Amino acid sequence: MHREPRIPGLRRTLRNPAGRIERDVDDEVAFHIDSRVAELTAAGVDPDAARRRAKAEFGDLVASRRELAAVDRRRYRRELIARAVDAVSLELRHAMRSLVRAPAFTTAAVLTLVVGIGAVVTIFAVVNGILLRPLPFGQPERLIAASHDLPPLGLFHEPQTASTYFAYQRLAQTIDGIGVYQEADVNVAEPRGVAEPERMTMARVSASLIPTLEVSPLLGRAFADADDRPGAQPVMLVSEAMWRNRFGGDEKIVGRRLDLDGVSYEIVGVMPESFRFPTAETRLWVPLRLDPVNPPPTAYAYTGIARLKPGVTIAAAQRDFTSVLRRLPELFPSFVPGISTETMIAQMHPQPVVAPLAAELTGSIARTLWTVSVAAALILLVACANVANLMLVKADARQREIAVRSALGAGRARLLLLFFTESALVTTLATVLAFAAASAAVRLLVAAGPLGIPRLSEVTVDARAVAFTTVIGVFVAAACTLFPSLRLGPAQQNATLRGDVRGGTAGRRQHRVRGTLVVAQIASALVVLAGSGLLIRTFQRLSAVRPGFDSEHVSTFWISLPAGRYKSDTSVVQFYGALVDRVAAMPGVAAVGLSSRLPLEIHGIDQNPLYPEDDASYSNKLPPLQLFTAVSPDYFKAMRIPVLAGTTFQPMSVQRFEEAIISRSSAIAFWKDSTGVSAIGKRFRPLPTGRLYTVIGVVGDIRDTALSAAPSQVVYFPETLEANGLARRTKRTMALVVRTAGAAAVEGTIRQTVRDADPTLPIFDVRPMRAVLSAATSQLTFVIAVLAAAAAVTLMLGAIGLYGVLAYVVTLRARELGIRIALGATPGAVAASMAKYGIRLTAIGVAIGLGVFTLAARFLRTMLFGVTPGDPLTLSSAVFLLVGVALTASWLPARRAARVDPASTLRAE
Amino acid sequence: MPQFPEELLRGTLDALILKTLTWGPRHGYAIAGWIRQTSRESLAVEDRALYLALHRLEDKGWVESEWGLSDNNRRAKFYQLTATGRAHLKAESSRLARYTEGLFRVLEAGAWESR
Repeated sequence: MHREPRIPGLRRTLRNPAGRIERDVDDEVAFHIDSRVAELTAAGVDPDAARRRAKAEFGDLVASRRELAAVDRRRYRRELIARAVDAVSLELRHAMRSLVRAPAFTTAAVLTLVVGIGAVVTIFAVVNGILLRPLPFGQPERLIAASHDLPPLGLFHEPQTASTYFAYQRLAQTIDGIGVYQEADVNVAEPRGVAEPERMTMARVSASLIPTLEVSPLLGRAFADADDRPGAQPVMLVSEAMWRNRFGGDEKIVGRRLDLDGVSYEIVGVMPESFRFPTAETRLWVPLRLDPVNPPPTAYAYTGIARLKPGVTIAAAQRDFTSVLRRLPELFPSFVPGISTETMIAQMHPQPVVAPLAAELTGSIARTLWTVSVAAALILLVACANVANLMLVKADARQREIAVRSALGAGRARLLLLFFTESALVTTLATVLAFAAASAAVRLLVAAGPLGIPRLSEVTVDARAVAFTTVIGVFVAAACTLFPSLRLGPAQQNATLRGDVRGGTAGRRQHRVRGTLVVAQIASALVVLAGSGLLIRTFQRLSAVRPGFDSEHVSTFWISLPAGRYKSDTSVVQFYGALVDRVAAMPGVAAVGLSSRLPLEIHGIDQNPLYPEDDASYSNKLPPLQLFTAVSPDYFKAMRIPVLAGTTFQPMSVQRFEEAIISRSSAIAFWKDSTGVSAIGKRFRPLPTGRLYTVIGVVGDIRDTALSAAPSQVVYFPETLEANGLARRTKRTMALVVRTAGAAAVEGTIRQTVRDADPTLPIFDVRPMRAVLSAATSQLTFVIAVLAAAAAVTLMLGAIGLYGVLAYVVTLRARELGIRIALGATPGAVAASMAKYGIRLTAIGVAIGLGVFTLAARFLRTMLFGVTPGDPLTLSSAVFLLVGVALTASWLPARRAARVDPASTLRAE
Repeated sequence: MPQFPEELLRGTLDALILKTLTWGPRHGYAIAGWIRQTSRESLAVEDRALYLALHRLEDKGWVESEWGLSDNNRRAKFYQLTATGRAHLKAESSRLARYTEGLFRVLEAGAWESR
């Protein structure tokens, strides 16, 4: 007879088999000795002597027993494993056949899980790379970002000034080192100008920075303190990528030279590829060369990173920094010319802020990533629920098989194995596919991800992602097994064997299971739907924001004039003046202007106070900071920023040094005048003592820093020829802003024009102004895209789940419905009773979903603009959409219920 | 008493046990008795070694065991040859035959030379 291989029950496996094995060994040995004694006695030997002889013949009894039992135990263990392998492989073959026989089920289940697992794994890879993996520096957990809050100015996490940096470096007790850096762009050329010059991202760093980060160069040396003094020989470090691409991996690169903005720098070392600091785009590092005796009077301009001494807490470091800052006036009495350090501290109330470096670097993106993670987790949840539902349907079709197998002695463990093998097969296949899909998605994301995500270049599918995928796969397989096996009670089996299942009475328990699954799906779908709805509303609001300028048909080109080549302000202004004239004369160009910064970009931000003439109110408090921008006269025309009062500047060749144009909000802030008229002719100083400027015009406000932020106060200065070498405000790095008539293509001609004027000048960051605008919302559009996809998937899967359950219930209750129709119930009433079940599940799901969302929406708050987390319009739209889809999903099975033919269902009995 | 190399001794013992079982299932005591008689007590083996060999053969899958009743109605463990055990015995006997043949040839040649 064929014996079904059995997995020994849990109890038997755990029970110590040694007891039985040793007893058997004892019995066998005793039988031998007794038999020998009996034989010898029969031959006439004295019984005692016989026993002694039998024992002597046998050998060491104790050792024998031990050895024999050891052999038997080994055999027992091996048999156990062999039996389990047998059972599993039988079950695997069985499951494989059953999956192949039901291709529709298999495809649906696998695809659903691929979506769910793929989403979770992709997001995990991103979260892991950006938030979880330690920073690529030595002992990164001891690194802190050191910044300042300036509450009276509404500025937070502002970087270091040169003087605060030197103060912490000299006096802070809790740190093993502090370094500062500043990001910059630079024109890079070969010493003899062979290759075309290139614009590159670099960082100016203090010599202390690289040792503080505990990173060593790949080749050569890092900066020495002697390199970091004013007047030191210019030296630089290059990145590994630059070394390989530009220098072909030359081993003798140390000592070679490059021209940075026309100044020759000696290369002293190569930094490894893993040193993507401060960004992945950084190619070069040069010393900051700050003067420790007379720190330059720049304001908060240098980002600070310190290394805590081992065992020091953040709070202790914070206290230490605070006490050091109190002593700043002793060390450096003057903050900037005209403002003493004492005054600065009294007016700005700088508070040192010390935070873990990793959190500081990724703080901006962390919330977004966690939001997306939640959406991905919900997709997986809904996908699992759907597959569990599919498994239930499949298990129902096998009720009889299961009942027969359990009657034949298959234990619960064995039946669990039956379900588990099938979900394991499906899950394994889905996990492998999902992993491949996720790897592709991650590569795509890294290549084309939205701008401004820190550490994005470090995101890869690594061993941790593989491990995570495996864990998720096991979890999913277990979840999909759990539900079908929930009703493996003994009563259920008996009922099935008796055939009760046809009556539908035994199905109550699985109804509840299925109902729960559907409710979970609907609740998840609502959460994701409402979340993406809120973000879409935010996007609408942001798109509706009038930025104050017109980005249509405007192109921007950045140019930087190196000091080595354009030594005086006069030469800079002459170059730009001639360039603007030449571009303005080009066909298709409607207006052209220059600006030292573009709205919504970080590049070129320069914030300073403004002291109105004869206004005593700012003698002991700091006036609001202004964004200082250098522009050419037609910049406003090119950007269509309205001139509200007064006029714009004179042509560049005759721009006047002492003139300025202010924005409307500056006029309101200082002269309480929204029309701008009364601000005209007023005079102010950028420092309490210093040159006076006269307001000659007031222009409209623009959204300068972010679409969601209020307009900044802006002061526009002219690019001027040198005037006695005093207080130069002329900027060398400017954006050429070109408005074309219609969609004229001018890029080629403009590049040619610049090349004609100076072939050594690179043009960089060439972008239509529209791209600048959309880059400002790129992170948001990315999240919206992800959430909208998540919403679509959960909604669809939820609808499928609801439909599946109702359709199944109709099939199950066909006989009952047939009887009711035969007894005179109208088809409409029958359909309504079915639809009611669907509606009840939907209602519970919606209620739970709304509850969960209200709790979760708080986390969305910082990502929203112009809409509250509880926005009734968004929530009700989400509910309506969901209920509409749910009604459709219920209606189809209900209609089928109404069409049950009483005669045929009754006959089928 | 002749001193056999350990491995040869064990192989021989295995072969003897398997041979014993070719005539049908029997318990350890019966096997021991048979070996004692056939080898005319020349192969003085401890019973301990015999049982250890039996259990190892079972572990290898050459014999299988079942508890049954002995002639005098006591619970006894009966061993039985399996198909693989039979195949192994065949291979092992011819190997042993070759070995002993070779051994004798060497011994006799030595005798001739010393003559």
